[in-house]
Amino acid sequence: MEANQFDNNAKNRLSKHQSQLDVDSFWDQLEPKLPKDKSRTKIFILFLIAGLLLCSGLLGWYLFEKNKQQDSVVNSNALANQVNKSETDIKEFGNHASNTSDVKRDNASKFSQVDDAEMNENKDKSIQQDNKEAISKAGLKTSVANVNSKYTPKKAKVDDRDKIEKQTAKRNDLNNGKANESSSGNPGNLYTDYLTKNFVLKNQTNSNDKNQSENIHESSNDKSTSSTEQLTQEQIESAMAINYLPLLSQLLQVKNLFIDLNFESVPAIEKLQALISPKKDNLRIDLLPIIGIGYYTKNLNYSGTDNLADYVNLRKRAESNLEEWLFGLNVNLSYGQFGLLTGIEYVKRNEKFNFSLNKTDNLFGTTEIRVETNDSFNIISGTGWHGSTQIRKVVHYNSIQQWNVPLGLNYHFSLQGLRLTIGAGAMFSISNKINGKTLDRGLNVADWNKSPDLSYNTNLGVGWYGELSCTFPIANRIAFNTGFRVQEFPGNYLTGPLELNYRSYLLRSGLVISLR
Amino acid sequence: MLKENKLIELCLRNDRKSQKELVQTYAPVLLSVAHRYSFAVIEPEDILQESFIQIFTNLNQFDPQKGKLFNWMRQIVINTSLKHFRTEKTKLNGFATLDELKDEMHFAEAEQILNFDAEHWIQMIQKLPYPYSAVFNMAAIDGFSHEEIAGILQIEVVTSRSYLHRARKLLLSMIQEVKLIEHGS
Repeated sequence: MEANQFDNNAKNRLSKHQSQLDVDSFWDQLEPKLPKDKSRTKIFILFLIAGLLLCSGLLGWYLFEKNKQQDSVVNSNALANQVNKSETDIKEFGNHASNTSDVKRDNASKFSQVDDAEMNENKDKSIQQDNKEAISKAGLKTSVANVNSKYTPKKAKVDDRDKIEKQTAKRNDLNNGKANESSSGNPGNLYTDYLTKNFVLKNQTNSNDKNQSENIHESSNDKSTSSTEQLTQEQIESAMAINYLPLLSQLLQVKNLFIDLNFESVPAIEKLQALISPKKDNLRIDLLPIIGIGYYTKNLNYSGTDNLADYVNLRKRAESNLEEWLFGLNVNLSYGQFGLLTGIEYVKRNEKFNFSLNKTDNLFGTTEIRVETNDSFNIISGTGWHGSTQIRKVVHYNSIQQWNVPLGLNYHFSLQGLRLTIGAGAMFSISNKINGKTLDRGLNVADWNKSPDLSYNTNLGVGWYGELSCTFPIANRIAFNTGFRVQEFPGNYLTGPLELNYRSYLLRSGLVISLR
Repeated sequence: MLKENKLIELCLRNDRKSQKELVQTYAPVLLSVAHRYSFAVIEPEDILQESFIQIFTNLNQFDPQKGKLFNWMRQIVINTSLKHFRTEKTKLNGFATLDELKDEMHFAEAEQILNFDAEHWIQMIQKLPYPYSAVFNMAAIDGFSHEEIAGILQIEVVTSRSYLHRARKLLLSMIQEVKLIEHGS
């Protein structure tokens, strides 16, 4: 025999040789040391990142809208005031243009008798007094016009003389019974109205000449009077706030806008607020305490051909799937029609396994289990029970308890008056526990997790859920929600040779408590 | 092949059922390899377990175009065994040293090895001193070239050839001892 033959002989003997190995026990030792499922970890991390990004986005949007709303209120007030001022300027300019010549002519002689100091003094006094009286007696319009009149003249000193001239002229006219003539010729002239009305009010206070004041008031400011009577306290407060903003309008220097001063500014603000408020209302935070009941389908498989295979087949025939319960507290953060749901849920699943057990002795492999339809049975308790020669009827109640965290998206829509929500997402397992008794490879009764054949996963990884629900409002911030949900953890519940998982079909109901 | 590719794909997804199927398929033959390459300091089962961890961890590096899955896994088992040997610095296990071997061995005297089964072969190979057993396993049984062996064991090619030759002589001497024992009995 040559060397090559020697080597070939060894090679032929050894290259295909298989050593004796208990593969199952070897696998049981190997499996815990194998790398864990990275894909599940990746999915979990992806969902976590997506959830955090979504929450951050919603929070950022909320803060942005909150600031935007505040800015909008300020801007709207400033805009309204600026518009008022512009309107006053325009009207005053028109009034000035139309009346200046007449007023000047009518009062030329009187004006000439009044020096500048006296005119300024009269102006200041009248404005100060008019402000107080206008707010307290004449109403909001007078107050706004008063403020405008305070600031408008500062814009152009050229107009001061004309205004004072006009004021003096109107006072003289009023004293001469010409108020109707001066005012009615320019309806809506706020500056003129203001002067006239306040002068009337002053006269009314001082002289108690009711007839005169009423005539003048009606003729000069009918619209203002009627509107003032209809003012609500809120409108007055809003308009009062405008009084403090004309300085901003001075800075902005907007001239070509025109809005009727007669309380158009207040509705304008309301309109702006109305535009903002729906966006604000789009963000909702709902608390959802839920309870559910349903049934499930079970997938129990075994690839081997030993006793466990017989046990699986028998169990499939003899097992009664009872019911499944769900309790949970979820939070739904929604914007518009879309929402992000998360929370914590507890699931309990009950099942019953009814069979007869016959052991002729306590040795491995001699146990016989049979399924019978007899109603009478004995419930076995204790671990490692070994039967006698008699046939024992056995019922095993198993319960699977889980704590899960859902994280999913939902979409709200209306269909024929019903508010419907469709949602789906991931279900993250926090814990999984199987209680009760079962049979091991030797067909011995034993508790779960007491042998490699009966061990289970305490964490099921990532599952999924999908649901369709309907919401019925029952109070201002509370609604009743009911729907149908399907959920499943596709991973194996068991770590031993058996493959087990469930799919749940639940009727879920609960409340929707709106926190915002 | 298609089934094997599908099995690999599922194993890469960490599908436990497929991984177990892979173990069930290849563990016995790989254990035989581990037996041949194992030394007194470590159990072949431990080598096999560590090898499978390496296999499942690095399965994504396996390229079907470059060779068969079994050869790739066998290489991992061999590397794991040799790594343990280097770590433990296994000593010659009391067997015959080279000086005690006769230079002239007659292969004709070893005709009876045809009757040796695999277990006998493994037992004899396990008794060879390192690195003779390693060289004999790789060159005679697993089909490595001397260049490959030299690279793996970090020795010269000539040395590898020499080790193989001497491993054969040692095995023949063991066979002769067995023959003497049988005749004696």
